[in-house]
Amino acid sequence: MPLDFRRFNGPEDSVSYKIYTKDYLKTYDEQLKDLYDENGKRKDGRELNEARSMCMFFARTDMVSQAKGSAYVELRKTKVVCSVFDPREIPHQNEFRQLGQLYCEVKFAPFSCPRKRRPYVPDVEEKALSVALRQALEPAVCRHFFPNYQIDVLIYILEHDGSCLAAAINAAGLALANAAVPMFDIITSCSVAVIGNKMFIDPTEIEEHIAKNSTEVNHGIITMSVLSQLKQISDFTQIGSMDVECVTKVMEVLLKECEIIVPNIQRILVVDVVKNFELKKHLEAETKKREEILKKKMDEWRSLLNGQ
Amino acid sequence: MNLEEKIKEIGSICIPGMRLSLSNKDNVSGPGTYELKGYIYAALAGILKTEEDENTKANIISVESSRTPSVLPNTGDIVTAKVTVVNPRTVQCLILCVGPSVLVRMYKGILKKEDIKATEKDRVDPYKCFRPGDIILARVLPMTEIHWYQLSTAENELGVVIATAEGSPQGVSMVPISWSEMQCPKTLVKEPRKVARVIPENINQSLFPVHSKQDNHHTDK
Repeated sequence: MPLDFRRFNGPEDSVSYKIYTKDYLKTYDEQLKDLYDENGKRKDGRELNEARSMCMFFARTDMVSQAKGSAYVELRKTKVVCSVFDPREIPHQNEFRQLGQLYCEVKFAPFSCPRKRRPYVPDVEEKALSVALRQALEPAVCRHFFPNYQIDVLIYILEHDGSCLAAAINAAGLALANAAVPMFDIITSCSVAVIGNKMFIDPTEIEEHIAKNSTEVNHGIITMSVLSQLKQISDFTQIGSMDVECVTKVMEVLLKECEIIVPNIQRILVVDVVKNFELKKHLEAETKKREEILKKKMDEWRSLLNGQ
Repeated sequence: MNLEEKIKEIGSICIPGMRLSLSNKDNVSGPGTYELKGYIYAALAGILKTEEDENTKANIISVESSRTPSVLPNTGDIVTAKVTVVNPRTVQCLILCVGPSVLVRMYKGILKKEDIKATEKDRVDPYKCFRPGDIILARVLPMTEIHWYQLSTAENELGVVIATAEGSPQGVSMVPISWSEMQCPKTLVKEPRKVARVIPENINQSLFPVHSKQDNHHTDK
């Protein structure tokens, strides 16, 4: 880990205080039992198959004023901001391409992850998420409208409590629609963590961590994104090892979950259109008022000139 | 609910991916929509608009978004550009608007010497047609370079619309006196330009009219 020269680093052989906490010393089985109690409810009160999209979901557009379009998605504790900018020239490009490109960048805020601090330089996980996001968004955007140009989609994760890629894809879809980038369809995404024979829909960070480090036969995380109206799967990302039946079962579950998010996204876009329409009406009324005042002044001056 | 009333007042709101209609002779897809497998779908989040095309009597279905859609100038569009550099062979400019919509980001355009005028293409001097700082109307030619748009002003309706004379105070734009000359109303300096046929709204002329009886409706010749 490269040192951060802007901060005071401790002596070289210092270790994080976290290795002395009780949580760190738990065995894998104890951690797994912690995840859900006897009634089958998870730590935050949800059922195993309940996603945060129903009650703990919040999203809005127009979050960043300097960007052409932006969105903020909150899945209980996971918070993601996305900004989209106008097409710009692709740097270092020499060949003519018929389709435009999407430049996706995912960045974790240094304070976002509970286990460690994120460095300023993009690390491997961020680069992998950026590539996954780009693969998910490319089928949704009408790229033939901006050949030889690229659209920047920048994601900033403010707090990481699981399902980051899914939240990022949802936010990016909203931000692109907010920025009036022509899209084929709205894109929704959801993820599932599999540990043994249990499926945790919309996993939190602890559930994801255990799923990644589990030694069971089926373990891992699958994120899927769907174009709702066209009923096409735009991307499918899997981390971990699972057998075929498990994967097919998870895919069916994910298709249903992505379908459930769609009305939320639709509502946000409609509210956005209504708001912009109101703003336009208000601005037009104001300009009319100002034009009236200006006209009156001009008539006054003209009559003064003519009178002289 | 208040939101429902507002929605009814606006009309039909579309979001990307909504199926709008069949695609056939009577329904044609316009800006903001795309066609797939015989149907027209919306591509933007906005308000649905249908217009009738006079020539073909078909409905042009388009989605109007309150923000400028993130599209680039297409071949054949009329763009408004500001001249930045004038060379003996080319004129470089920044594209500000495409048709009626203002762009958020300015794109680079280039005007070759042969495309400035329709007649006498070789004996034209770009410095006598444009100067840095002029606002021009131009048409986009098919793209050959990757990041620059090829423009052309080889029509009567295209050319300089707003220009300021050298040495004149800022904000005083010149008045055209012929198709190749413009004059500043304050300093009375004449300068050569390739003038566009559209007469610009000259606010100085309506505030200080030459004939006191005429009102400000004499802007068209």
